[in-house]
Amino acid sequence: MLEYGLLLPGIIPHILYLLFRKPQTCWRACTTFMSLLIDFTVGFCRKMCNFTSFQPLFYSSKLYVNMAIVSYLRCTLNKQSSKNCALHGKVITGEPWMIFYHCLAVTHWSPEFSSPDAKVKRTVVWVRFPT
Amino acid sequence: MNLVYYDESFLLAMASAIARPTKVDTNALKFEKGKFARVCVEIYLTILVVGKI
Repeated sequence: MLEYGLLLPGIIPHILYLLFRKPQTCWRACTTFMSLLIDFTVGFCRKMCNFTSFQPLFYSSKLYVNMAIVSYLRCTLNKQSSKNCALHGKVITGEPWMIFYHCLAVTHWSPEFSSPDAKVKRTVVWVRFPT
Repeated sequence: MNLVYYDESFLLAMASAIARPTKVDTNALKFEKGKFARVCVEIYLTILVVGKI
């Protein structure tokens, strides 16, 4: 039996990964876990909304900010400690982010998620082949 | 699945039976974790997922 990463209920929040190549015409939407986002190591990062702490760094070193935002997103989403609570809310509410030329929208995973009623039509999941 | 099948081309071909494969987990390619071989695929949420190959 195959296992689909999306269908497994987990503590990792559900990430809506909205990806568009032609912003006017086609919106390719896919869903992924945060680990997939970490794997994007090449490319540039640009953000759309106000993320003031990273704003000056953005113009100096694109790749550095790239990794900073990605690791920051991973930290705040994985461990939802009390000190990260404000930052966590900022990541959730401050969307959409522009990361590696992709538009990223972050939402919490809800137990009532049903795939036929989802806004996104396509999604990226991890399939695990058991040994 | 035997360890001899932990090859990128094979895993991608096997995942293409499910959906369009995107990438293979690096842990499977480096033989670092042997319990599962993870492959990232792009599935359609509107159609039924494949349960067995």
